[in-house]
Amino acid sequence: MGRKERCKELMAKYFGPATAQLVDTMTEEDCVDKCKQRVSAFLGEDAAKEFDEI
Amino acid sequence: MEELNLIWMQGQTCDGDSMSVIDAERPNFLTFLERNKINLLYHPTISPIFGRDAQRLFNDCMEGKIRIDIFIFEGSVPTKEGYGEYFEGQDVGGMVRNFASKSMLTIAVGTCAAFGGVPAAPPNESGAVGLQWHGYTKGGFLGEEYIAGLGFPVINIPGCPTHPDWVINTLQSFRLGRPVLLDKFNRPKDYFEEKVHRGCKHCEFHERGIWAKNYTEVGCFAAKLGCKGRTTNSDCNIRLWNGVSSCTRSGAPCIGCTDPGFPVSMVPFDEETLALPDDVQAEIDARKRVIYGGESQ
Repeated sequence: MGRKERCKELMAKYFGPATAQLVDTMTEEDCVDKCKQRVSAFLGEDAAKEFDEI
Repeated sequence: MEELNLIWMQGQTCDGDSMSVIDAERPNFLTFLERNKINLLYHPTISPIFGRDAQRLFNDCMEGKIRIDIFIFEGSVPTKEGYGEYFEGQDVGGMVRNFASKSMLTIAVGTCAAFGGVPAAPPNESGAVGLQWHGYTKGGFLGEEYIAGLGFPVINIPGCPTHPDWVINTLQSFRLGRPVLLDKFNRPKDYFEEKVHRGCKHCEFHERGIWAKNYTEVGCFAAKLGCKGRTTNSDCNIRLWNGVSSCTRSGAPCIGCTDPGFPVSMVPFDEETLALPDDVQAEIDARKRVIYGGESQ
């Protein structure tokens, strides 16, 4: 599974399909950082750590 | 968990949604914000700042000096000159566009902010529209393509007024990482998937075809008093208001205030104005057969 697909999966898990769709507007290079930043802001560092494994 | 900045603005409003949300219980609004590390930058009713201080805050927000994470708007947006287009000396439309472009979440609280509501009813002299809808039509003030930083369109939490739980629980979902699903009018499904009819204490009269002819009579309000509960989506009769009641439980028909067509499509309130959609009629007929073994009289 690619980085974007993994990000989409996590964003759908945390916020729902609307946020997952947002990942389509990101690139393979920046999607992890952008998603991690959003998850960190709303849910905290612990939840954001999941993105470290991508 | 980072602290999130919330700014609450008003357009053409009666202040009813603010009053409703401020009256939240278990927890109350301010306790909720504190527990969830949400910093209320400004609220027209409960903020201690006004005048020049408020203007300074708005300017700082618009210039990006202060981050806006959650933007809540109450009331419709006037689009014609001379109709309340200024708030604390600022152009309301410009402020709405600016804040919406920066926020991670944009939430329309109340039917006026969501769909235009009362100010958008004919003759609509102020050119009032909702943030992203005008009645049943998508577009509104921000346009149908608008999405906020978290990928959501304007999240519509209608009602006249809105139920405080709908607002607080939606915000809470985003703080807990609980997915928020929206219906076709961008309302959270958690609160707007059920019909008002569900859980109404007059349901058994409806199923048996016993219709009240005036407000004090025993019976269902649908046929003779124009109750819109069968076609209006909201969980009023499951969640209840103030934990104990609802419009229909307190002896008044539902006027369909969470529907995008409110109030235009709902008047006259005391006459049946909307035909039942096929799926609703089929569900009602099926229930009648199960409970009473036949159709109503």
